[in-house]
Amino acid sequence: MHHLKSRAARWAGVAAVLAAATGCKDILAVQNPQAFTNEAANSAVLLPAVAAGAEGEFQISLSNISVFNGMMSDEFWHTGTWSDWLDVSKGNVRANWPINNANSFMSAQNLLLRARGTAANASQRFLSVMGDTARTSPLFVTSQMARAWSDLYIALSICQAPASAGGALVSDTVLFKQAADSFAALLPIIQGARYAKASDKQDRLNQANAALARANLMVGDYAKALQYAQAVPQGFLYNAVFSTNSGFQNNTMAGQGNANYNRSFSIRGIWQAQIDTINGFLRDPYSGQNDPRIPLGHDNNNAKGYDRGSDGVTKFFSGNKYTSYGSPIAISKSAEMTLIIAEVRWRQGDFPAAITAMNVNRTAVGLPPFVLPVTGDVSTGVRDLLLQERFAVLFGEGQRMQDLYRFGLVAQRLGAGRATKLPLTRTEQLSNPNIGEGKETCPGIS
Amino acid sequence: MTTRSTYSSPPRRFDLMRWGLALTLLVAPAALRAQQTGIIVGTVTDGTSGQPLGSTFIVITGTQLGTQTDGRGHFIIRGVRSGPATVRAQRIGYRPVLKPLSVPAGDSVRVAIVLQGSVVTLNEVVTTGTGGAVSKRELGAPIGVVDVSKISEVKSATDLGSILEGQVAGLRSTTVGGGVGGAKDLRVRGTSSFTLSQRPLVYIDGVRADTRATDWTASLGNQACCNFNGGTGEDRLSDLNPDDIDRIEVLKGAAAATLYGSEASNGVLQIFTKHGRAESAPQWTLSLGTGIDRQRANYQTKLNSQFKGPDGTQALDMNNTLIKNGPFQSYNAEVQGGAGKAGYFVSGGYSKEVGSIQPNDQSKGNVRLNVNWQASDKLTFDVRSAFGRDYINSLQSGNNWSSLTGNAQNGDPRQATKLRPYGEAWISVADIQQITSTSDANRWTGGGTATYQTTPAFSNRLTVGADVVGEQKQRFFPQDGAFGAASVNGGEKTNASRDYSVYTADYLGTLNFRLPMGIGSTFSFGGQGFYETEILTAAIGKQFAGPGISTVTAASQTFGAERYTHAVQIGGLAQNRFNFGDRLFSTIGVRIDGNSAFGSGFGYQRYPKIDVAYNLDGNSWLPSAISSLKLRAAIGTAGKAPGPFDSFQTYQPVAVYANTPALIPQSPGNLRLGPEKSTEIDGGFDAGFFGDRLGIEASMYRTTVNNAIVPVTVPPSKGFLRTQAQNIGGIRNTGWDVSVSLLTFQRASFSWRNEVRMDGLRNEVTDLGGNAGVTDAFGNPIRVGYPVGAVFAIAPKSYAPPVGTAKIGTWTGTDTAVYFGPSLPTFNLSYSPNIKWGRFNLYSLLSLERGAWFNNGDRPYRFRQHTGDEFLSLLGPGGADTFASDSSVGYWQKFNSIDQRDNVRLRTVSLGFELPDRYASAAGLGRTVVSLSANNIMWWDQCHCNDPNSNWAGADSFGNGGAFLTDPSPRTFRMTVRTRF
Repeated sequence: MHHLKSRAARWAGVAAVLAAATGCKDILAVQNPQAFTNEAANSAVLLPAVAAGAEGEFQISLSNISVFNGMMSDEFWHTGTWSDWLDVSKGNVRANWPINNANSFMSAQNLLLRARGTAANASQRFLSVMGDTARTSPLFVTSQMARAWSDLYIALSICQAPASAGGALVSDTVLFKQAADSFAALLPIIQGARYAKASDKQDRLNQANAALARANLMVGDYAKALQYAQAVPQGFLYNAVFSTNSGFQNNTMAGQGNANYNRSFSIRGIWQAQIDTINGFLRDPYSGQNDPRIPLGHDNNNAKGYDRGSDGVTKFFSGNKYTSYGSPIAISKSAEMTLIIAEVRWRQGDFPAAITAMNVNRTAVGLPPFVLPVTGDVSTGVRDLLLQERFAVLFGEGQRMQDLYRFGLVAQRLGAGRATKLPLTRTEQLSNPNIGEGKETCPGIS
Repeated sequence: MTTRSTYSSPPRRFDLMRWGLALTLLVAPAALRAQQTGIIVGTVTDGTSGQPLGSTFIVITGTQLGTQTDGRGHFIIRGVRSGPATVRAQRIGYRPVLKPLSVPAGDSVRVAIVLQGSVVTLNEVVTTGTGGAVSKRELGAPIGVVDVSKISEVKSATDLGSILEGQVAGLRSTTVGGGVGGAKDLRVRGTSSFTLSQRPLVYIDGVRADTRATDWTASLGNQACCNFNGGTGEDRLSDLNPDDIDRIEVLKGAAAATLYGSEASNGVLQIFTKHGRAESAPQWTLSLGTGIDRQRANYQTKLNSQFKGPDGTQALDMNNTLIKNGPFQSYNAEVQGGAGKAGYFVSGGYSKEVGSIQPNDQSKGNVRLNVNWQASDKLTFDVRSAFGRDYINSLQSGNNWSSLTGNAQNGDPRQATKLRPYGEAWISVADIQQITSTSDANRWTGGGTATYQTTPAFSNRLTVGADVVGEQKQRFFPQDGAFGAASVNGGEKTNASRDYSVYTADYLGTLNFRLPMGIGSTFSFGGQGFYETEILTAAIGKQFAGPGISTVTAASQTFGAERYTHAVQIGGLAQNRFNFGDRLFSTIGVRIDGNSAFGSGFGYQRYPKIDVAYNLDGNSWLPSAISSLKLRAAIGTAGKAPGPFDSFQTYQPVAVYANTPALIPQSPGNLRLGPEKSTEIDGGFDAGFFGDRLGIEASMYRTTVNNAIVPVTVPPSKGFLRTQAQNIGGIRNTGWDVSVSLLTFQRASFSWRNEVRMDGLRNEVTDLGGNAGVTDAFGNPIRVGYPVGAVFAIAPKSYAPPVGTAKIGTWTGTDTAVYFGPSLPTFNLSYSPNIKWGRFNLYSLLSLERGAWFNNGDRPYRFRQHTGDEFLSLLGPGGADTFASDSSVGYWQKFNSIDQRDNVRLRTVSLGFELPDRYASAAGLGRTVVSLSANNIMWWDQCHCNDPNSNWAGADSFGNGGAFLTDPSPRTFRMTVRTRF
């Protein structure tokens, strides 16, 4: 009897262990309630969010890159004490630029590259999940547009970059062409996409036309640039949307250049004599009137403590075009199309038409119209007016560096020895198996 | 919607549990013979001073009977078989004594035991990572023991980190800044990971404890939250009350910590709290402390007072204006005793420390109840419960636009105004002093241990417990302050909470039996698991309508954030310790673990170990000067689990446009991700000389990690935000550590004891899986052939004088960042003499560190901000810029200041005085000691910095290669009165 009891006890013990083991089967399985898995992102419910992520990340990347583009150009300079920002501001950056550690220098360019990767990833997901129907989906249009816009801004900012995710290095010229081709390919897709509202489709068409106008201008196909610019209606505006809602959505242009936030960049010193610090505007150099397109604040008596930048030394003028973390940045707008038309006219030698086009923008903001120069080199004179107008209309929108670069004016405006564009980041260079150490060959030096 | 990953378990994962149960069932309880018994009552005293010795282990040899002495040195053991018996008494710092006696049947016998001091620790009994209590002479693995109750006698410390300073060779414990309540750097034998926490595991009485310093910004995002006070967070280590601690056992590395498995490659600290003894009278200990904190006046603003601002404001020197006396007070009461078969320890303490640079203070309250009960001859229970509240009003410090001393130091005195008298460039000191940033942590740590002696040869121990932390954080910027540089406009309020809990269960069975040829054997087996969760939440309100309101709801913009992590580990262990006579001992063992952080394709992990100890003392051929000698060697493996969700490929939910939900690639994930496994080979000796008046413990070790987790950068063009964790790295630590204890002189009225701890370390990255451009969590490069966390920087290469209208020349830097040195010291030495003369007791602790380098972010920053004594001294009359000052700015705009951390630091000087008995007794007190002590008094360095130990990231970090805007650790002066009765 005792033997039986003992055996029963043993079996009971083993059964208890097995029951415990069964109960513990999933004990090592834990949940991550903060993120979605790759598989989960394929669900129909989440695909709109995937598309929004593609376009949204591209838009958000523009504020950081616009700071750097501005500091590389004659728009801004660094008023803080970050040595990497100072190098950008002084144009010291070089090919295979050595860095001490990961820092904010790389983040702006990397954000842009990531945005393109996100968009390409989203497009691939749509094709994978939806099959051929993806090509008529507005979601696919959204991600493809974001990818092409990213190409365009990468080319505007970085002298060399991989043509695709993890791809080999190509020049900015190739990327401009790639962007142009992508947008051109998108036009029929947008036309065929099943939008719920016709206005949404039209918005995408306008955006694609505007992008094609700019991309073809950069590629040098001026006839196409004119054609697409003229296809964009007056009043067109495509904004990068930011928000105070989260750090991810903040506009760095405000966060680092407005007096209410940090004060790490400000309008470059060469403009300071033309600033009306009482009324808070840059004066239009041709009329002497305040230009409402470039609002600037200054703490004249330092009562609010922003007379100087965060370095404590450099005079600070608050960039009041973007006053909040949530201020939008224009990706493209009809005023830019007007300037593209003006530039094409100038390149065609039709200087009066160029002046007329530019004056559309000036009169719209209450500035007196330009008159055609009658002395000296008229072509150069009109070009200078064009560049000044591009400066004012596109101020702080990430295009000035490319303007100085493509017109060969970096040395003239900023001095010799400056990098003419941003190099690719070390992060991409070293982590991308198709690039590697020492493979960069640009930027050029003024 | 949430996602779920299922752990795919190997089919035999519960084999260990099955075998463990079967073994338990097979060993049936043996019947006890009825026999007559008696009682042993005794006292233990110090042979030199005659003072009673508490915490002395008393064992009846050849039996399982034993106890510890109470604070009066008393002990009582019941149920001792009548007849001849031998009592063994041993205590840390003393030679063990064997006392033969005869136990009368049905009666008691009294025994008085006198212990003589010894600096050799071979006879100490340790229990951590050993599979049960065992004498150190039987161990081949390196274990250090810190006698905290003894240190508390000579050093006033309110936090654990300070207690551990200079106590164990190879254990680094140093304050890295951040004011009162700031973080500590606590690590054992260097760095063995690229990305994971460097802290050793900490257990309190067998229960896993929280030691994190939360990085709120990294956890919740910079808009949602904040690093409340800059780079160094509050350190949960500082919650503990050192007065509750009896001793700490330190497992120095993988070879010693194998039985702790997948979390133990950084070593293990096991804290043992005080216990009462059965049948001992209550003994009270009261201690009162007072004193001040006063920072050293070495901030770089001494020349400020030579300058005036544009409105004629005299610039201020923060050494004269911001450094104040911060008052300190502490009260602690404890009582221990026992009745019947139960013992108790009850304590309560409160302390408040105000920082020298204010606002900054810490208030701590702790209560503890430990009860032990011998339910029968076989069964004992030990229940512990401790509650603590730790309130810290943090100093605005660290890499932080609102750093208080950062603004005072980085202001150009030539720009001083009435509102900004330090020339503050970012935020005025007056405004910063209106910011409140508090941490209020409530913490319960407790558990129970049941031991059951199934047979004299078979014992069982089950420990369950929990550490539960609820931390409330607040930060408030008033509406009317000018905080624009910190991106705060119109005020801001943040309420955040951290809810952390970890539950531990630990079973250990120990079976003693003899093998053929007289080989003794102790087989231990068991299982251990923990279940850990952490939830961080934050509510943020921005922009108030006006001053006078301070709730999140009252703000015009409100935000929230939440983060959740969850980790589970279960494991089993088995080991056997063999003793071949009384000289040769060897242990073999293995730990098997599964952890929720492992990738789903990874399965359970095995961690084996083996160690050998051979004692040569007593051999006739041994020189007489050598009184004891143990040679030892060990090899073992321990692991470090990856981050809880590192193996998942994830897409991050974010908001875009105005507030539209969106998904973007986050982590590439890795289903094959497993723990880092450190294998350590350790060899050395423990020796006593001249009658154990000189003790030396020496170890050499090599730790290799062949599957270190490398944060492989995914090309940004692929879209993923994070790196991919891959087990492809290699790290090697080669080092040595030596402890020397010398009892130079010992008489009843005078003794002089010296302790020296030394260690050397060489750390090297051996493999990165062919990846270039790898960086650590702080963006510092990791390169093969160099230490983890090595300091690299662009160095000056050439200089060209100014040409044309240029004001200054041009410096050219090296083409790539060059190596300067490791970020951790390669050599540490601490020396602590302790002289007792009559009623006086003088103790000091001096430390030396060599070999570490760091990126001294403050120095170039001061030049770039056109301030600091170095810069100001280059200015011309009237504060005019000069070629030298302009050139220096140009230079420091281009280069970092890479400096050495080498330093000599006088950490502690303490003088204690024991009141004559007649005065103490007249006041109704027992042994009463009044002590004056000063900590972190002075340091000597060449670092161009305020404190060479400053570290901008604080605890749990890899950021020891840099310092920026971090305030030196507090300098404290204390008077303490401690009495027992």
